[in-house]
Amino acid sequence: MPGKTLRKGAQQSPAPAAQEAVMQCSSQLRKIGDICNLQQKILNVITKLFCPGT
Amino acid sequence: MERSEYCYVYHLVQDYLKYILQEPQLGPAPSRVAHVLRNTASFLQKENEESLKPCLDTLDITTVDAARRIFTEVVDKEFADGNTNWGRILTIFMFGGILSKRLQEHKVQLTGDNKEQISYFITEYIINNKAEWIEANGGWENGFLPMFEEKRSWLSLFNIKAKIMDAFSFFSQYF
Repeated sequence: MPGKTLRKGAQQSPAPAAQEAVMQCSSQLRKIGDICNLQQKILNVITKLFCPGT
Repeated sequence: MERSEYCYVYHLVQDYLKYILQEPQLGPAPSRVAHVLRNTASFLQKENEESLKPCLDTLDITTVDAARRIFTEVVDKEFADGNTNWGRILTIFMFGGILSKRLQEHKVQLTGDNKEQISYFITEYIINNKAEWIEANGGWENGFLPMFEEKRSWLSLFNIKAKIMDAFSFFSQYF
């Protein structure tokens, strides 16, 4: 039955979309964490160079 | 896993969530680590909340159980490449904060019990997956604090800025 097939398809569609969102979210978090880590490391190196006492 | 370690992380998570959810009568941070965590993770959260919005909008975050499932899936995939660093550890707190705010926006009543559940699943992830790395990298006191403590970074930034300004004013005499 065409109606049945359509409903089945509609039920399945959110899962790949959610999976895609999870993937995007995780890769963004990874990027955010890595950038933050690198920035802080650079900042700490600069701090050591300019203000060795701190 | 030691119970004290679990409690330590649990209190850090709980304090951060209280801070992010702007709970009334929130006092000063209970420790230096909690203070630095409040500042760094919330700064990161403010900076990145907008960019994460499109993919979070696709996800159904309307119950604490859904938030737990999404949190675990996302963070598992984040660390799936096998790399860990303090920046990524911060994103665990940040993402927990984002999900809690999302629940609040979806009119989910964040009762004490719900907040406890959220704090538990974040803590459990950290303890079960990252405790060894944290310990091997100096722990919260000797690894996280020296890297992110505000005093060092921001004070130094002011010093650097002052030195650059000094250099500019020195050279401006000759030009």
